[in-house]
Amino acid sequence: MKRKLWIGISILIMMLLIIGCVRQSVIDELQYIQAVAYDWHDKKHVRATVVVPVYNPDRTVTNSIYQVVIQMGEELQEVLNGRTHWPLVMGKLRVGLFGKKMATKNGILNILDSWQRDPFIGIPTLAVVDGNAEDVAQQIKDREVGRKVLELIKHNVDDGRLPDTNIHHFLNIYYRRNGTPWLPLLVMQEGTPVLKGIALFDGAKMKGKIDSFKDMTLFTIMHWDRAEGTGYPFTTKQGIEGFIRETELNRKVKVFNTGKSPVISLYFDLHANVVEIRGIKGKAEKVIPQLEILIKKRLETDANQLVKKLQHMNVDPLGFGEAVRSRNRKFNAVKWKEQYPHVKIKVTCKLHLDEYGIVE
Amino acid sequence: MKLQGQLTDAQLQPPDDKISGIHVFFLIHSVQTGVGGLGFQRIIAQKAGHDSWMAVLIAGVFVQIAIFFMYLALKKRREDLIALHQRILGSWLGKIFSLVFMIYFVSLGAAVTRSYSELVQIWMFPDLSTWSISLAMLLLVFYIVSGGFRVVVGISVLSVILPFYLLLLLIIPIEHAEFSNLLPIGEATFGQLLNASKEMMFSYLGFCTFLMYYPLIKGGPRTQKWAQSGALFTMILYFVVSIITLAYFSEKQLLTKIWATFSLFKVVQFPFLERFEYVGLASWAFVILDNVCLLLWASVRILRRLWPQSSGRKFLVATLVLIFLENIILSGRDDINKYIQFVNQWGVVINFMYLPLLYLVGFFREKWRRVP
Repeated sequence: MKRKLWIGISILIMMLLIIGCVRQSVIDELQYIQAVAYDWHDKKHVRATVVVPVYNPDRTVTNSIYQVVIQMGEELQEVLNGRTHWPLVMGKLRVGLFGKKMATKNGILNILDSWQRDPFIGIPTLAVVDGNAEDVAQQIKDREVGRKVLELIKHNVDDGRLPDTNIHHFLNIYYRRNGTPWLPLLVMQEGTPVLKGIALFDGAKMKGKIDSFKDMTLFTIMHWDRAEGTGYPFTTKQGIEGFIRETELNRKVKVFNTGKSPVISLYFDLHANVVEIRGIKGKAEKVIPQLEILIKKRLETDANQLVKKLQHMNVDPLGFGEAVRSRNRKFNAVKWKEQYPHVKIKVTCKLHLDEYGIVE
Repeated sequence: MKLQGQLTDAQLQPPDDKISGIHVFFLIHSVQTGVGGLGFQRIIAQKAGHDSWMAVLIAGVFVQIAIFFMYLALKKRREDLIALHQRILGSWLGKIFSLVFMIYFVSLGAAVTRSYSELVQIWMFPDLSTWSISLAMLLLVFYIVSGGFRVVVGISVLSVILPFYLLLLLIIPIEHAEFSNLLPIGEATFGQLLNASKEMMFSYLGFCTFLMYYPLIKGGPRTQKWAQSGALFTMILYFVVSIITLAYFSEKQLLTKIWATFSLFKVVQFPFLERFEYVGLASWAFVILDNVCLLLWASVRILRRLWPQSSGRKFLVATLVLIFLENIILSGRDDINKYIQFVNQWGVVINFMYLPLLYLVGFFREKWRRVP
């Protein structure tokens, strides 16, 4: 019995010793990369700007910035570790920014690929910067760069101005047949990043952009069915101007004639409130039903125009190809790519104006 | 039927040491869920694309049939694999085939430990050497297996209950899932589906340890419902996981994820816990542990039944050393994958071809003997 006890105790001690063999890393003595911005350098190289937040004893945050020109994505840490006093780790990477030129010419796949292979990197949010991405990293002074950009995108996603986006969503679309993903497009204005629109990708290379806020809203409405709170301005021919805000949205895609030449109809059912209106004459009860039709027509023309624009660029971020694929067993991806610019896509909608303010 | 030189069950295991019927549920279910459950989605999607969830169901039905045959073969005489072999194949041939089972159990246990240490190395500690992880685990296995069957059963009950909360976390990826990824249903051909279900088997294997502990169950044939529902529960679990995975990842994206279940856990983020995979991985140690314990217990049991005078403990130490060496020798994804595939093929042959065949041979021999 005593012998057994000793054996048990020695096994326990051995296990503790073995488990203690791992290299230590103290959380306060690591430098967490929170954001990385990539810019065009030349055909093979990119210029990476790394932002590491430093938390000062007086509770303020300063961003220390390191810049390096690299060829391989993984070189980044190796080169930069030669400059930092504590080891750099990628475990808290929140934001990846790409300059427009780099996204157009190099494509961003090389970087994303090494990120998705690294089990220590979570799910960062990505964005394209119209201009140089390093500006975002260098000009934000008041907060942590990563957090500021992340929160900017995140609250717009939550409020329904932008469909959900991060590295997972990007790669999810990228890996589809003929994947044409998209990313939010930012621009630096007077030292703060501003959400400007949407960067459209063909594969992993940027091909075009949607750069008005109005089109971005329409894109969101057509892309996603959880767009509560998005507003949309309108003007009618009669000179009525106003602003509606969504409350409920249902979206349906139908595909006719899936085989040879598909015809796609996108229908959305929109409930909204009128929050601002100018130039109406007469009583609201009479005007509202007319207004519903007028705004609906406005929305339909705008939406059809946007779809035409996307078709003209031959990118499909709204997932019409996916809609056809999921209904057609003999889906041919190559043929679809050729077909897509000429496919008939018709957007129709129904608008319900439920409320028009608490004041008559 | 008592064979010469063979100890009866009563001598090997006192009657009050028997386990009750519901434990069979845990034993079957827990030995099935193991490392396979972390990465089966990619492997079956390679073969059958977005229809691979059907392969999960097909393989599950095959498992049900296999369990049915096991009960059919054993329940008449309440014997175990060794007695069955001896009765049908005779003393010498029976011994050889029992040894095949022993080797199979040990190599399956080795595959499980090696996969888990690979997992730890990749997701948690990249610079930790293989030997230290597997040594720590094998010492624990030694401690549990030398405690006897009841301890092994206890561990497998724990290994079902403790990591159960991981299932709840799969709700979070559903939020981002797009179920249109599963459409159109039925694009894969039947051949592809069968191929995928064959690959799926690795995640279901291990349940034939049942052949060794059947005499230790109170209630004998009445426990069949527990065994079947244990396997059914595994199937439902895998089915849910595969549906969520297929909806969350697009098809080609899934092919890049070696441990798709962990990649699902990546979405889970708490303000106080940046990377949830660490917790998931630590909990998974429980899921792995009981697999190895039960498999090794079964192989020790085979030895003790074949040669009752031999020392089970020495044998256990020897097998653990063997597994340890195997863990060190296999390095890298490629080696491990090849080894797992090898074990998987053997498992499919043993579970789904050899065992029904054995039953049929026994059945007809009995019939022919009675006729004249």
